[in-house]
Amino acid sequence: MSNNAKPSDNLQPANFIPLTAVTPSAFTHREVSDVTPAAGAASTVGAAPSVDLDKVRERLAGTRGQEYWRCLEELSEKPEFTRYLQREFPRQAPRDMTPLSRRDFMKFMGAAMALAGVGGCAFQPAEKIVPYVNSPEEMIPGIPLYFATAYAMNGHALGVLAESHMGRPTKIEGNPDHPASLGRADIWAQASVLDLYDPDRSQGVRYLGDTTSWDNFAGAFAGAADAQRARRGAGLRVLSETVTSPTLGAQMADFLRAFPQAQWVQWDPINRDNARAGAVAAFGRDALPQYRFDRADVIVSLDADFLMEEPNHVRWARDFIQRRRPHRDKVPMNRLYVAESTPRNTGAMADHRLPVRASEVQNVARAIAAGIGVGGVSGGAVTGAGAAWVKSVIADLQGARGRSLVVAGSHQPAAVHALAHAMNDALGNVGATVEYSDPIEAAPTDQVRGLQTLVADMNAGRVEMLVILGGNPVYNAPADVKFAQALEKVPLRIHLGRYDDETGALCQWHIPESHYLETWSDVRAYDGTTTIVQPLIVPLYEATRSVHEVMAVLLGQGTVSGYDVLRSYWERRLAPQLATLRSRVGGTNAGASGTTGAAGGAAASGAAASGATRGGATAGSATTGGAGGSMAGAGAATVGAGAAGAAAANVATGGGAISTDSGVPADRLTLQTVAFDKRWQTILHNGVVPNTASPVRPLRVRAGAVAALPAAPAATTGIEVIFRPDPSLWDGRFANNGWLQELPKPLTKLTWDNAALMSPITAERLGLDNEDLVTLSYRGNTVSAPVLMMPGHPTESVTVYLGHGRTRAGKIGTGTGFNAYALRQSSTLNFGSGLDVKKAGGKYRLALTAHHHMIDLERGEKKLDSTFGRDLIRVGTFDEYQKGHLPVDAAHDKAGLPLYQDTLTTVEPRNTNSEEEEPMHPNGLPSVYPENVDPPTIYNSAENDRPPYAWGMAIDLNACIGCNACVLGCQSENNIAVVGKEQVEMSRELHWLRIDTYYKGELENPEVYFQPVTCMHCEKAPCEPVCPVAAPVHSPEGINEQVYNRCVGTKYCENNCPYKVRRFNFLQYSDQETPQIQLMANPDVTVRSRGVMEKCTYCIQRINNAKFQAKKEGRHVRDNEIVTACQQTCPTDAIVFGNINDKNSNVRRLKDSGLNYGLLTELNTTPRTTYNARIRNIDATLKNPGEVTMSGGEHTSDHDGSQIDSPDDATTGQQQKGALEGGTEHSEGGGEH
Amino acid sequence: MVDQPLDRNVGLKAPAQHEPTGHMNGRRPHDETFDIIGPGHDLETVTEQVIGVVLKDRIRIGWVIFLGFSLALLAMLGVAVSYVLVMGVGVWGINKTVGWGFDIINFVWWIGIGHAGTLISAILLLVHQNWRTSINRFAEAMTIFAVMCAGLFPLLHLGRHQYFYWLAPLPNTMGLWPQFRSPLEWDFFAVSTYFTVSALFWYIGLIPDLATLRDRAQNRTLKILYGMAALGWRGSNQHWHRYMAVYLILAGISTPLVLSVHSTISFDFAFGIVPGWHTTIFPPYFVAGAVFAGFAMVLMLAIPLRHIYGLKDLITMRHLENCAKVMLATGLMVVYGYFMEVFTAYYSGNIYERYMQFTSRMGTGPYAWAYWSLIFCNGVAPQILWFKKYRTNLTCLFVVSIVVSIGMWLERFVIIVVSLSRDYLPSSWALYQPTMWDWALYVGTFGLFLTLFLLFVRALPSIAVAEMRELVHHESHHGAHNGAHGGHLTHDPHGNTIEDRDHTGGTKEAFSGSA
Repeated sequence: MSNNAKPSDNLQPANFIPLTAVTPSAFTHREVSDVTPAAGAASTVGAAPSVDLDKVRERLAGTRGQEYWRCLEELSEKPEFTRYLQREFPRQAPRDMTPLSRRDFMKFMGAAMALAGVGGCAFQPAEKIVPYVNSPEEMIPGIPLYFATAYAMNGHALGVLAESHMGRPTKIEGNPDHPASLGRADIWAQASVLDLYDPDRSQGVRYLGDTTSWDNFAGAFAGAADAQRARRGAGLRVLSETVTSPTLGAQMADFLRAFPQAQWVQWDPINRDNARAGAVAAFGRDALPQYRFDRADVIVSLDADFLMEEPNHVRWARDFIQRRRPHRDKVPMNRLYVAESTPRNTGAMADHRLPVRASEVQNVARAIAAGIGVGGVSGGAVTGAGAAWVKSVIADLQGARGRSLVVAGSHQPAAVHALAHAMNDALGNVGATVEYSDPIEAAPTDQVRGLQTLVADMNAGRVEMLVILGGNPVYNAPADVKFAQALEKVPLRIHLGRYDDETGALCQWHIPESHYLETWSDVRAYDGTTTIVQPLIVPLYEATRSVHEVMAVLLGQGTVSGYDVLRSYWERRLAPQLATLRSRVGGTNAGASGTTGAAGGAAASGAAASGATRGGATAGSATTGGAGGSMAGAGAATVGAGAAGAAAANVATGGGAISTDSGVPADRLTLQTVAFDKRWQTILHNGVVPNTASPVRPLRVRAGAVAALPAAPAATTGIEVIFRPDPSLWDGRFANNGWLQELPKPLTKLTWDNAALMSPITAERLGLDNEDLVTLSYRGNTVSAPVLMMPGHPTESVTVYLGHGRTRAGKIGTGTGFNAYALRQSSTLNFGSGLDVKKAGGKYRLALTAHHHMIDLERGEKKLDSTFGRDLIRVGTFDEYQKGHLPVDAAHDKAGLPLYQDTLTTVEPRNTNSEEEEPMHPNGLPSVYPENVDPPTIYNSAENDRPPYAWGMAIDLNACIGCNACVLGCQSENNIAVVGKEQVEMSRELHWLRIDTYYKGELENPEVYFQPVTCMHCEKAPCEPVCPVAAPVHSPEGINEQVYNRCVGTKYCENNCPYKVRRFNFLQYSDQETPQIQLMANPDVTVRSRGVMEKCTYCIQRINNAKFQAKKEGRHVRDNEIVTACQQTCPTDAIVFGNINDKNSNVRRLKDSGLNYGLLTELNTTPRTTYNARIRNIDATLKNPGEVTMSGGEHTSDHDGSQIDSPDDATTGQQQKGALEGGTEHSEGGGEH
Repeated sequence: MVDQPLDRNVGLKAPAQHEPTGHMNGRRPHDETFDIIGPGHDLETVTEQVIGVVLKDRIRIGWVIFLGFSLALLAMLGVAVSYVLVMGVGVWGINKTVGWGFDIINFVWWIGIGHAGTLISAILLLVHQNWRTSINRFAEAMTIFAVMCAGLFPLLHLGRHQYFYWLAPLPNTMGLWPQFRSPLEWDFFAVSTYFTVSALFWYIGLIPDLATLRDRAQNRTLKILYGMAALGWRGSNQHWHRYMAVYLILAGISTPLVLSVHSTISFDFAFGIVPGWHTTIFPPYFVAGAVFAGFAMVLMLAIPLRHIYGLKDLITMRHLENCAKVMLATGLMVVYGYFMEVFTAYYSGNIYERYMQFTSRMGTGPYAWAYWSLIFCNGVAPQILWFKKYRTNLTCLFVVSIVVSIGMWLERFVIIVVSLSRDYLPSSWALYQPTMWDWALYVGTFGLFLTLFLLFVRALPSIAVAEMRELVHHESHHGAHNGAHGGHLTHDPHGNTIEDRDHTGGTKEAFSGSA
């Protein structure tokens, strides 16, 4: 074991807190070794002169037979032989050759006692708290900074803003300037911050099971690369995930130039092979469809979950929902048709959903294509319920030429994609609702074929050296490829990965990969926009390297920092003139590496470099500093503290280069550098490189392309298996992420496992019940899986989610669920028929967070109503809505809602001199809160005796797509602990926000409704009076506050909460020991411990921050100034928070809508959180077989005559008042309008 | 005083030298009487018989074995409590939906059991039911021990046990008082008051008997111990006068507690908005249920006690039958409560209440078995007590008592767990499954109860001797206990007449097992 890779050092996070200086722990080790008798003895042995072995051998050689043994004994008595033995087997050496004297014994004892005392002390690293001599710019303790960077999955970037508290990234939010994000984030981007702090991350370079150092690796690696270079790379292969990073793409090009015979293979288990092939079939070239959902009136999804699974889903969800807000946007509502195999979120949002087996989607696509007049379509006869659906789709598509959109799912075969392109083309949608651009990958390939070729080469012994850059092919390659067996035939295997996972275990070298929050890189979004990935923190483990750094070694550039690689690429790309200038200095790469080579820890210096460059570019930051002014402090905040870092920064920047390599006047070069730096700063600050979006390609579907498609496969028999990425764990890369493991999967609400999802009808036919263990056999491979019935799943079809069943994921992810990759075949990557399902006997307990939708087959129910007849979800149709028939009964539903006081308009502060009228509600009753705070105190001056704020929330069920982003946003913001599978099984999950899912209708095809539920902040909260110690209390602003340190844990409040939103720490759930996890905690939110009740606080910390800010600036809090964590991340703006006393606030506008209703208001809880009813734009001529009368219809029929006539106009409070009166007073309601 | 061991308190009438009718001697074991005291007793025999259990009876092997068993259960309680304190309440089966489980069920159940003791000693005293005399002492002990068992649960059910005292209105630097609107806070006062008053009442009642023990004890240590406990009781007129006054006052204080404590506990539920909880019938229904369960427990204790220690003369069939009648009456009240729950759920038209009653409890709910078992245990089984034949059959009584105890436990299970498991939002419905720690704690409290009771039986007179002597005195004055006539009248010390049931000597013989 080498000295610089001691495990203790690895466990020790590097200088993450700028104020901390870590004392080298080697000091104590040396002290010990000097005194310990054993060590002393060992050292004398070690110093013994070497034995003349030859002499010994000589003597041994001269002996024979029994004499040998006697002689051996004699030999052993010889001093040199004894010494030889001791040197060879030092543990066998006597501790001390001479008998201990009493005095020595006492001395040793004394020393041992003293040392025992020393050993007993857990040596904490000395923490010196010193003030900054030069304070990092912009960093104010307690105020977080936000840095723009990007999170990428399968190569598709989502621009994010990472929140940093004193150099610790704590939360990921979307970057409003980024086209794929628009300020929102999905679950994976948000959960990625937990990955950073995962204590199971790989922390040291490993060679054959031993920890070694990066330098050792770099040496060995460069040597091996040199050997390959001599052979033009004939035996060298690189296997990476999908590459969209321009810098890595450039390195890939460099690599292929340097090793012309080598190959670079890309493999992602969820890839766009089908889409690519479909585009090639349709256009003759690869193209990415850029959908404009906001422009489409009719959308047809062919098994595409574009709201959650397809790339760019965050943006698409947002665009899609923009057209589904009848009350807000005065644009016609779109209509969504979904032909869907596995029920997913998009199907749940459909106005008309058609459950079809995955293999039959093509058939449906052909039928539609034929119906709308795409030439050359063959096949496509759809019978049964599907026929009416197809007919309606055709009619609608034809009625919306140029305003419609057909989307094909990534996992559908190329023909479906080609048909979708052809349909869009035939409908005139190209250029209107869909445009085409170039793919964003650096080198788009057929990944399955690439992998197969690679494996064939490996098996043939043509691969001598395989460099695996990220990814986990041993786990996620198709079963028939047998990647693991092939891998073992490669002589030199190198794995770069964040975890020493299944693939790492089979490689001789494992290099820990840096997390994206601690490294420099770049990545492209779906539309091509490029973002520079910038680090927020020095790598937690100094051995970690980025892919760019590993590639630099492979390219013979030595140990270069990723920053230098990236910057040199962008200097070349952004400022060609600057690059030419610098090339005269002596080659960018070489120069950069030369400057940084001396500094220890290349990554650290790279990050430090950014700090230094920014330090020199204050002007740039001042000009670009927008909201938060976040950029300039980035490097300083993360790195600037350590003296070593600062020194490294000085060396790393251009300044160092100027002073060392000359040839160009320094001032000229400096000017150029400053010019680039300014631009660079702006790019980093904004999180997007301008003008990098892919240009639109005018593409038309080739004539005859459709006719040339292979005929639709014959209807398959037997049970079909569908492989889909897990809605939480994706392809398994998140298996060790506790947040995602415990996140209830949409619709099923399953956590910690995957299951064989199937229709209840199929389950009944097979005699299976929920949680029954079955054996799934597919083409010779077998796995055992529990059954979970899923309403709406097509019959004779079983969905298995990939990503579970990991064997080396870490403490959290190892062994959850079953490995569906074991069934996956390269020929049927996404689905295939012929699955054999056999009851294996036995049960497997699944941890579901909701059981009400579990189907009890024994009762023989064919209809499902998981609301149990309760009026929890209000649904209406667009037609009814346009006629003024609302699914919400104003008289009944509004009565139980909080009443508004209009104490505030956001624009001008209240005029305190004017005579105030008590604001009254139409019903004549003032709200309970805010209440008069009397008498005035220092906090409530006399003129401000009534708090102007009444916080409230409105959740638009029309916009909620059930994507869980809010759940994770809340978890990340509020330090919500992960409780584990057993605790979820016991219904003890801690999520403050959950998404309730309700089914209504036939088992085959029910309607699905999502309802995010969090604390309602009832004005008359049932939890408050029952607490014996008054832990839940009400704030004057109407927030139901839970005082954690007052709570004794009676759980009475939880029992009495009709919404069941309170969460109890039954055990010590929060991890207060793992140092990494502590780093992640949001310092603004208390970490709760055992025995305390917790719940949603409306993100009180954010409210208070905004109030402080407003107070400092002498104004009221503006609307939208406070954004709760759930609201912040919601891709569709379904959650709106604000001051309900402000007539002009967004939340008030939603609440004033005729669609607004409260949950369980009949209990008189007066909830501050309310819902806006869902409106479905159904085709009246088409009635889904499963559709039942919606609850809204009942209401409207009751109050037919009194409903408002023009709900579209009912946006202002004044009009809404009229509407309310219309509801309450039947006779006068109509007259108001 | 202690060194003046005069037997003054039996000075009402000098103990005549009597034939040795002491315990277990004079009567055959199966003789049963329907009088409130067996024939042939005078002051001395009564004293001898009761005090003898404490002072003269040898340590029986059965008692030792039973005590060992109880101590084992008590040890299990110790382990269960320690484990909860160390690990937190998460070791139980409660969850986010069903926040209360065995903890509160057992709390309510034990508290309910305690009620019979107070009812017997206080209410029956005030209404001059002198048949209470021979059962009130151990019933009161039962109350105290049951309240001790019950009191354990609210403390343990807290998430942060160390802060249990925050429920007490203690002055503190934050100027923070408990939340007086919370029924749990009322519980805190109700239970602590109940325990205090019950213990006082019991102890006051014990004082004359403790003095008797002091005077009769041969062992000096015992003399000193009983002497200290007797607080210098000399049986003087003044003592008696004050004793009577205090006893009556405490009975007066206890009486409303019988009604108020369980009413308060019912508020824990009635105050909540959970369907199945939110009902006005709970207070009377809970009180009736408590008395119901309490009398079942009294019978479960009395039947073995009188058998083992030969107290059949003192705890007669009359007592047991009366207990059975009370059980029958309160059982009917409870059944009325069940009926009203059904009616209210139906009549309210509230879908949540209807679902709770008709689906969760009575229909296809996962806990319907609990509801129907409860109906059987509390509604059907006790109806057998209408028949005198079964009412006076000890085995039958004992079995019915056990069934009723189980039924009352199930009633709390249905109220607490079933109601919580399916309340308003179906998305949050969850089942409750007790863990081994739930069971260990529950069974462990039996250990506590039985240990205390077994020690009580051996250390203190389980029948109030002084009161029995008073009773004997009255009985002998009226001389109406020879069993020659049918329905007989019993007069309490104040001359009120209590008409007992009409029964014949023949029946008596049939039940006493001897001619």
